[in-house]
Amino acid sequence: MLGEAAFIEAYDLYADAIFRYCFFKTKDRELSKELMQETFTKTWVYLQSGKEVKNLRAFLYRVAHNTAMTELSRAKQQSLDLLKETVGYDPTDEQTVSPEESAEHAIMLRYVDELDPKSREAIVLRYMSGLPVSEIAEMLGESANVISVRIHRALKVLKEKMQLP
Amino acid sequence: MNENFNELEKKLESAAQSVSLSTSEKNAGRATLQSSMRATAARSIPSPFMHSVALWLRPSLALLIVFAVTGGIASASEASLPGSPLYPVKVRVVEPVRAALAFTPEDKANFEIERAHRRLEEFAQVSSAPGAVEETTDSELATALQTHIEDATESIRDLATEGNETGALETAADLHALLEVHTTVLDRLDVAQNETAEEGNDLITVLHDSLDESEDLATSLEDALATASQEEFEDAIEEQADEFEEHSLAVAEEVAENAASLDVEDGKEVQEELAETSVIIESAKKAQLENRLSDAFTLYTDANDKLNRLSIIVEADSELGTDLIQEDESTD
Repeated sequence: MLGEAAFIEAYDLYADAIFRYCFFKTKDRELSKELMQETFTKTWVYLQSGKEVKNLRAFLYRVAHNTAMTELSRAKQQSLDLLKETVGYDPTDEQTVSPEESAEHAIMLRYVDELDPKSREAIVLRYMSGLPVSEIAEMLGESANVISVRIHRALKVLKEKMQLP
Repeated sequence: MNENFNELEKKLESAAQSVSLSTSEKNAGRATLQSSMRATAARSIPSPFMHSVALWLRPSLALLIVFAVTGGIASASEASLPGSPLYPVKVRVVEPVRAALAFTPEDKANFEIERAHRRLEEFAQVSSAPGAVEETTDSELATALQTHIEDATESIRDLATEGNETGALETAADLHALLEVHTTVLDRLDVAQNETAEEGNDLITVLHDSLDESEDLATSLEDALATASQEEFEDAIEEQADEFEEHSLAVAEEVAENAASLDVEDGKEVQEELAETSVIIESAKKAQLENRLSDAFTLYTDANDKLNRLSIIVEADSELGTDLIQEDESTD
């Protein structure tokens, strides 16, 4: 069974990615921090009960997905417009990028958010979380080919919207 | 993936970095996690006694403990209503012991749903008696109902977190069906007694709010179902089919037991409902044969919910002595 030190290492490795995944589901920075925390706590409790987890990263995403979906149903999803009015779409508080880059990030993230839910999930998992296609396919219960095609189509949409050559 | 997307892929990865935890947030999260890990480790030391008790023996053990502690009073308290001297035994001794011995999230959720069902039945029985429901009774039942629903919801979420999405959805559907049918029963009791909707009634407020929330919960779990594997669906469908057999028998017994209180029209309505359920089951079997497992699972869940609702309403119709079975019995 995974020990405490190894689990803390996993936290250091995946906390940002899980937080990011929750953020793209909830669009709420504070809530995403709580969901990330809950994801790791629940996973630890699960491991402590003696159950085996073959792929910890995939398991963490699965827990994060379920936790976020449950929270969304409880709290009702905050609209993107409301979010922009209240906290803005730049969720980092340690900015190291220029204002121009920051503006471009905001636009990019908005376009990602406008994708259909399945495409958005695939893009977030692939590029925002850095998961390989095979792992995304396993997590979403689809074939790797389906996920590749979905990502390809979403990239085409984003490229057009960003007006990239 | 495709060379043409290189620039876009870099921009996406760069944009992702703008969504990250600050160092202090990450440190605070780590400290909180370490603290909860230590607390979990302290709590999770298994009881050497319970370790040797087989899972199937645990419900019996619960009853045995309850009986040993309270003797015949426990069973006598089961039918008691708020205000009765035995009611505190029922809700403060018997039920908490049973709750403490529900070990899995599924058992916990099912027992809390049963407790919610009990509070709603008690309220319906108190409401159908002459005179207004006392404010303290209403308030106590409302608080208890809310707690049971919250605990059931929490266990359903735990079930989903464990990866048992089908079990979570089935249980959430049971909770929703229960709240839905009791909303119907209480609404009809109001109509039957020619009373206006009790706007100030705490329990009815909790019931209506929880009904909406349970629907949202089931919807969110339906979404999570997308990650369920073929094996999970196959197991869940098998369980649903068994459950359907049991429910069908239970409803048939319920109808037979309460035949005296059901008039001809009621009997006809019940038969129509059962016929509709059979149609749903046929569709479920067809979907199963065609390997549309998600559809089959949903249809079995619908059929079981329908039987659950029918069973509750037939029982309530008989016990409350009010004609609750009406043409629009299904509240779907």
